[in-house]
Amino acid sequence: MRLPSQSARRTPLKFNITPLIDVVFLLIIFFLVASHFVRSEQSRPVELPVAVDGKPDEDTAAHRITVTLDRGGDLYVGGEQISESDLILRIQQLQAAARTEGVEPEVRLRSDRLSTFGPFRRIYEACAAQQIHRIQFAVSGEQP
Amino acid sequence: MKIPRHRYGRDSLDGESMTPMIDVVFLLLIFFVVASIGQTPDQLLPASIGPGNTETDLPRDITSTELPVQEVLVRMSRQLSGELTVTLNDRPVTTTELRQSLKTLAELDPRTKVILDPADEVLVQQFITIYEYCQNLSFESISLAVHEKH
Repeated sequence: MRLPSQSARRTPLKFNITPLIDVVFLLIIFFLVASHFVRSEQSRPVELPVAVDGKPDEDTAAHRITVTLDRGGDLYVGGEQISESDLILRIQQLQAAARTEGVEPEVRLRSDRLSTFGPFRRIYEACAAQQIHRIQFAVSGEQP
Repeated sequence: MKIPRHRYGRDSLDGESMTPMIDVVFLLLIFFVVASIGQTPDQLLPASIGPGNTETDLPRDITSTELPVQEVLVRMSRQLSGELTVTLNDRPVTTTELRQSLKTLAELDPRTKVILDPADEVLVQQFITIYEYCQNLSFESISLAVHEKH
């Protein structure tokens, strides 16, 4: 009697990549949407001042704080409204943390184009007082 | 003789394979929609406020010949009408004259120290416009005035 060989019984293996593509795309979309919400939560939307020669954001600073100044002169850090005294405290903490690790801290200033210079000045004065030398003014390359 | 029609073989293929393909097509559609929603990234104007880049002892005689490097003080204020008024070393100038003077100074000596002192009521956009212009002229030192607290 001839026994059927195993290879004869085996059905040809088919690898269906369609569900795999589905899952990969779902993961990509998930991370895109998640990062979008995280960003928009951290930075309050303001109309940035227009500058033609702004440099692209190449994030290198390990210790950085982004301060948003809206048209009414209110200050926001990480989407949360804070007072000037709290901001000074945050800048002190930033400087202390950066000094511990031996890196240069950075303060990024996102200001509404129609806000007045007074609060803007007080922010960089606080940075200067804390020996923070690296400041970046956020600007927009697009005309309003 | 009856020739089998190809339709029988296709029925299962049509029913089973179309759904994942539609899935993928919809996912691609959603992907491009979501990707296009993304925010426009901020651009940055770097500023250094090192010890030499903030001025606290204003006003002073900035035309003094004792200074090894020439200093230029640009004060900005804003009228009630919203118009920007500028003085260059305490001499009132229009923004066009300011640009011309700064350009000439940058060509003569890029080491010239430019000190920007906007008043509190000046708009950030007005300051950024002049600051950016100074940066483009490649001045080695652009300082921001710091007002001492009394």
